[in-house]
Amino acid sequence: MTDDERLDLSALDPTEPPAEFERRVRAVLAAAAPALRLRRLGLAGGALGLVARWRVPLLAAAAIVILISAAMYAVSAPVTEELAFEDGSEAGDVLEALGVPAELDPSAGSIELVPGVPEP
Amino acid sequence: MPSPAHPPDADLVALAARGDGTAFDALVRRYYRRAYAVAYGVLLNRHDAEDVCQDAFVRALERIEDCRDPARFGVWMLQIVRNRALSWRSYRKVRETAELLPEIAEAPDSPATDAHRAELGRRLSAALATLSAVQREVVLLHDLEGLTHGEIAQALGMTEVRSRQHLFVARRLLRERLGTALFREYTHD
Repeated sequence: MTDDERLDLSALDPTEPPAEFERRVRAVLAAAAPALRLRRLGLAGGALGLVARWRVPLLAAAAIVILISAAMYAVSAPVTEELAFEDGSEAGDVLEALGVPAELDPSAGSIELVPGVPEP
Repeated sequence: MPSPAHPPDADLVALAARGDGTAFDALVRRYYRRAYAVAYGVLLNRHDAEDVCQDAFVRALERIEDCRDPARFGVWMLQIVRNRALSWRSYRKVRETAELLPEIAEAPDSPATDAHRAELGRRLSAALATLSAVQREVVLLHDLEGLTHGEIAQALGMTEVRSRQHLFVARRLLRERLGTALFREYTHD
């Protein structure tokens, strides 16, 4: 088979009929209008254009950095050390033995203020 | 030597990079058919090929600074089209698990579409569907767009010999699928 037996594929030609081709070209130009406008304003090739072009990857990278930072902060945040005595009893046990109410035990969490009582 | 009516690609690319809509329009008209040939070869669907072409031209404009050799804008453009078409095909596979070959089942584009042309297109599409994507790309670029084997080799990243082989096999398969009598109708004698 040689090149002179070229197939007639004109039935698939996107430039025919001309009216349809014009519609396709207009659709491309309409879709490209914002990019052309940016270029006329001189924004497309510079730093702003670069940012505009990479905005999605940049946002994704920023989100990843934030997540990693939050995770690292959570891991490295100072942990309240449990008070312990030499015999192994904890501060909570001593306070309980002294009859201190559990609400006032600082090792159990934050002390709730009694409503209506001014803060010292 | 390029005439004013047919400015070289490098000039059009430089103008388009500054936002010249007329230059971009000229590039679209100049390369639409070969872009479509590649997209259709990959996707085998007229509407998807149109969408990919539109998307690829816009992408090319947005990244036109990346075209290192504006005189070879066409080759660069076809690479974008091909990548977009392959991505589109992957997306379509995920989206539609059991897909008909759409072009075969499709109705004509519009009432204005010539019925005979639509019928020819339908038969050709059905025959092309039996080829591999690269065979379709080669035969469409060669017989629809009129590219040489050298140009096809550059555009599709293969050797000229390989391009000739693909064309040979594609034509033989199309002749088998379309039948000898029908095949004659599709060939230039």
